[in-house]
Amino acid sequence: MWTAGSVCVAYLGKRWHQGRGQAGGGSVMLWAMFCWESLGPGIHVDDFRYHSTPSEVLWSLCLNGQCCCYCCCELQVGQGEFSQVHNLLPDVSDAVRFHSCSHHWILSDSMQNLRHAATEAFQRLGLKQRHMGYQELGELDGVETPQPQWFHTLQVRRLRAQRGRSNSDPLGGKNFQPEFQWNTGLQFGTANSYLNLEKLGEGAYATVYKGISRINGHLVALKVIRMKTEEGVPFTAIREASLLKGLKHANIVLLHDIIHTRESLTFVFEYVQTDLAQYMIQHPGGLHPWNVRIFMFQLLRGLSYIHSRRILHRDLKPQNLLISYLGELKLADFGLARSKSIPCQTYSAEVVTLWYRPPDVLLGSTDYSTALDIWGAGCIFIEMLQGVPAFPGVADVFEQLVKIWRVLGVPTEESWPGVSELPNYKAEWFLHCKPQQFRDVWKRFAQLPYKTEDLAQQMLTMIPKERISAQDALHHPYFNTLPLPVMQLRDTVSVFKVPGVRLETEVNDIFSPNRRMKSFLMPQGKCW
Amino acid sequence: MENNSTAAGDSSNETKTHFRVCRFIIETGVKLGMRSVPVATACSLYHKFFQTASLQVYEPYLVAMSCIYLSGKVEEQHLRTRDIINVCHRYFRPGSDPLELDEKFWELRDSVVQCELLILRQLNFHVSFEHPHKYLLHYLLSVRSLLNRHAWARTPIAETAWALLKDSYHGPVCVRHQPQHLALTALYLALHTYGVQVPAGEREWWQVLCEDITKAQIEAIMTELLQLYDMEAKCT
Repeated sequence: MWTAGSVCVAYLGKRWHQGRGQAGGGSVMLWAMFCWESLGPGIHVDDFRYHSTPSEVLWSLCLNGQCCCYCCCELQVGQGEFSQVHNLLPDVSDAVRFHSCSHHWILSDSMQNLRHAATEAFQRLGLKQRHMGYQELGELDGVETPQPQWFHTLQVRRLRAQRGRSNSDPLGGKNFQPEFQWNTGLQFGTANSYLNLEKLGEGAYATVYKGISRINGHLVALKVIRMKTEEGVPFTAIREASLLKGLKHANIVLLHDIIHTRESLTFVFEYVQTDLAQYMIQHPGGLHPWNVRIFMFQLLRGLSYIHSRRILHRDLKPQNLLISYLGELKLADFGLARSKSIPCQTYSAEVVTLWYRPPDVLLGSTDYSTALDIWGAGCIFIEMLQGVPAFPGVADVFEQLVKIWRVLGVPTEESWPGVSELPNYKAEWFLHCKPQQFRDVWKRFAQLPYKTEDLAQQMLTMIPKERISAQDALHHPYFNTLPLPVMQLRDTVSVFKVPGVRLETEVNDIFSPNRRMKSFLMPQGKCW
Repeated sequence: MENNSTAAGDSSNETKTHFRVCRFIIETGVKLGMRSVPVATACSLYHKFFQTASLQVYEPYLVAMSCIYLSGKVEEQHLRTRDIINVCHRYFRPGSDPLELDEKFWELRDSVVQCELLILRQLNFHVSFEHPHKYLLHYLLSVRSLLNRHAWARTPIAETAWALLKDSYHGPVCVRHQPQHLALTALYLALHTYGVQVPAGEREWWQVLCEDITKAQIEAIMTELLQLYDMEAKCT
């Protein structure tokens, strides 16, 4: 426990890779600079944690119970490792970022400068230099009891920062300029405020890059949309932006900023480390049932939110479900699907998969509704448990339908009134497929309590009207084992804020096959 | 394109210009085969744009063309720029041939596309609107069940309410009021036009359909709607 004066620079000159040979490939020095100046004097620090593991460094500093740390790192290693470090930083309170005028984000700068600055600051604070590094934080004394007014500034500013965080007007319409100056003088909404790091992928109408904001050091995903001279802005981009601007939810990807130039349009999204497709590749053979429950809960939470706003996602698939390092699941890629005709073929050669499409839409129905997304979520549910897609059709709509009939049985006018009037319905489909128990088709269900199968069955109901809604699914007994507070969370709060919600270590991991044996050695809060 | 707008900053002149341009959007929309909701979106985009922009700076008919194009994208009823340009050309010069695909045409098309981006920027990408149409449909169904079957068959309530709603897009009513309120007022006005009484229970029928509206609000929106019909007499 210690309090800081005007500026406290904690220098932890620890080579974090010390004791693990040359694995780091270079020396990584981490410097934490806690800039209190603008936060008012005497912020109370009640917890300081420093986690170091072979693959990552995680620092967190609890200020007034809120995780809020400021970290400067200087590295002499590759960009990849840098981002790893950054990604693992806890959700740093924006307030600190906004208010720390003396904040520096130093990327491969000379180490000398930093050492200099730190030494100076330490001298100002009257800290003694020790034999190898500087005085350890834990040994600092002069503890004062916390005063309520210390916390005041922090909380007030935190609220303000939270509100305006996510669109192209990150300051919420207020002019913060006179209050504090950005070091770099960079603005939101301009291209040179972001630095491209690497290409992450290419879609039908856009290319996605990983980038870093030069304003506040956040990692971002930059979706650069190609503009066609004859057609202007692609309609998918318009839909995506106009829909996402109205959506603020912990399970929806956050749109930070929009940059438009004459030639291109760039959407700046929050950076999320991986997606469910990659996660399932990394952990083959089905995921941990507990993790599936957490992912499903978040997926349904996101869907329930957008459905309550009369928005359909229409293109659910594991690639569009982003997963953060904590395990937070976020819906992404809005507006890529059309409303009346879901695209079979995009402009590129890539064929949009039919695997997650419900039978009514495959049969040519166009008056679909929220039940469309529920079917996709149900398919993803089974894929997560089983490790393989639920209905992996290969060729066309008809083969896809046959895959579904094999499990659910061929619909008849008795079992599904009105089915014969759908455009793609063919009377000659008498394959004699009887409805089957899910546990006979997908073996994982047999090993799990019945309520798992029951939820899947309710999501994968043939008749769209009878499919469970996202809101009802959240109250299904399957989720009873989650801690109760997850049901009462505010929209913007992640389920991982609830104590007791965290991912279990997956049984299979292709990157570290021995991980399971030593998992008890890992610090808590780590996932994979 | 011809510019019908007068340079004078007189607000009544501006209102007239906006009325004419909206008439142009609606007519063009009909000629292009657009459904009601995309036309409504085009008008809302136009009104939203000129809430903050000045008529002296932007050519309203160009903005209107881009609004039509943009609304086709937003509502997923895709239109081709060439169709829009040709239909608009015919509007200003009735009986003329379609434009040649020459330099002038490409320039015009580029301005429409550029203006689309301008609208997106001006509106900050808030281009999805909730329209009163679906509410009106819902209210009509409810009111029909309350009314005598013969009274409903005798009077064109549904058609009148629908027409009133479509006409309301000539003015900025659509961006000033909630969609529910607008739908309710259109129905209210239609019922009054034909003197049809809805049996009242403990509460008025409109209070049952829409809980947060007051009589004063209905009357205020009604006045705005009636002013639009006065405007029509002045503009045509």
